[in-house]
Amino acid sequence: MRLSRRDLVAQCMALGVLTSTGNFMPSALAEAWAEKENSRTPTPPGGGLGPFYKRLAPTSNMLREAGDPGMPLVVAGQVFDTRGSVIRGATVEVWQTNHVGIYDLDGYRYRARLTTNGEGKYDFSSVMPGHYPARVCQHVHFVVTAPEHKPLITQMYFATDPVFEGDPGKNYARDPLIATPEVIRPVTLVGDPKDIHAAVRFEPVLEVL
Amino acid sequence: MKQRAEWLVLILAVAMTAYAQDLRKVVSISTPARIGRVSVCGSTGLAAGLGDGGSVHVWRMPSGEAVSTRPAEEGVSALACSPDGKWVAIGKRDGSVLITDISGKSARTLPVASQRISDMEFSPDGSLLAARVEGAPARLWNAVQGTLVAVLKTDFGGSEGMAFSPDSTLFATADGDTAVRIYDGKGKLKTTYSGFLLEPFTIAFLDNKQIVVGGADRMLTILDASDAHLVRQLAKQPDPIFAIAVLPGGTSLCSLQIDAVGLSKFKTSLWDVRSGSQRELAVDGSLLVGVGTSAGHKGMLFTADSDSSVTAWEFSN
Repeated sequence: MRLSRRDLVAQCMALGVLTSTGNFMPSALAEAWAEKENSRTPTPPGGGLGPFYKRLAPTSNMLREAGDPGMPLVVAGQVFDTRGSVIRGATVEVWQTNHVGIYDLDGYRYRARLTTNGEGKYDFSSVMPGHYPARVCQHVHFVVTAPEHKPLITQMYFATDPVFEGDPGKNYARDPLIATPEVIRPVTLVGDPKDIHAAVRFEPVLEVL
Repeated sequence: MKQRAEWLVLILAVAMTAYAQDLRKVVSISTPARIGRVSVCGSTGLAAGLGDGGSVHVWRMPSGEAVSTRPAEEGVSALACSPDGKWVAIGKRDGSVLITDISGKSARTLPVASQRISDMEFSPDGSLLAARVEGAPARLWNAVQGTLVAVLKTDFGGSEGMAFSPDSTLFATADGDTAVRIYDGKGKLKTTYSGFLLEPFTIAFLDNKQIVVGGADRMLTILDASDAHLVRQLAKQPDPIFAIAVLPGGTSLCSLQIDAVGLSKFKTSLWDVRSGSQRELAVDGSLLVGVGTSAGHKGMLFTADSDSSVTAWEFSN
């Protein structure tokens, strides 16, 4: 789509770009617009670190073992900075309960320390976490770190959690640790009917230091 | 997480009856609000309590006589009493700390943080005020001048526990990134212990030379305060250790363990640090809300009951 100068100015005004640039040259406006459009909001913290973070987790992205009970789960995403650039080599630490809501404190079940690839991507296979008795909602903990970026501590929640009764936008506050519905992610059931699993995308956004 | 930091400290359940030989009931005080936290003002015989609606109550021990009361106020989240019994620091959810005199009259407000104040503690000499901030490292303030001394650092996450040494020269934090960090009185990092895999939740000084740490690893770990080397670990417990309180003399401590599965079953133990032996205190439904020293320099516990009363107990030996 080719925009007229007027369209461009209107778009830039809508995006707030004109408050950040004094240059009204179309090329500068286009650049500023593109930059603004690519910007991302930092992922909000979704409930803090939680009491059972464990250092030096395995680097395997297969958290699930053959025969593990519970609905198989695949979580995938990319890590971005607030400018919209992917972050390569970011460390993504994840941990969760098993399917009945129990954390493994003695070992490293359902814990991993992953590194994003050249496209900033990560993924892991696990099972849907159960409801930890001291918490309202099913969740997966994330700590995402990268050099020159502010560490992100958050938790990812599932839109299918019965607690939300199908309307996480309305009912997210039923878990007092969820400050915003942005950390509640849609769940898609994918795969062969004999080998179905839940798929979730979660794309952490880190602030640049 | 924030709830954990609060209630870990606030809901230690203790039985007094099983230790009648060790604990003496000093006084029970009826309160208009349920007390969630008591800060003992050094060994002055004064204690300050934080009510669930944000009210602040100061009592004189052992009579339980009310010295002052500040009415309930929205947004109050933490409280600490100065060791000389002159000042009460009231932390708020907006990150500010109001300093009042013991009568409740406001003196100054410190802009400590932009996040909720989770807990506060004066150094034993009264010169420093430490504040734990939700999701962020602790920070130190000059309690006399009202100036920031240091914002401490972690790799990520906040400080889960903090403590001053008895001589006020050291300050230690148990941090969410699993490190224990030891600072001087100016907030300069002296040494770090990185031997924990799981989070440490609580920390206290046994004396000026040793620190004891409890956490998700279910052990009490004793560290040398000068270089953070591991001195020894006491027997592993069935459940994580969420709170510890060293009694005067540094040879005994109380610990609170809570089951990791549901965070709902509590066990309180009294430890002899030198021998490593422990005795369980049977639960009677009371909640431990404060630990300190009596005017007679004996260990004190404060428990809150569901009927909005707070009870002071003193160790007889």
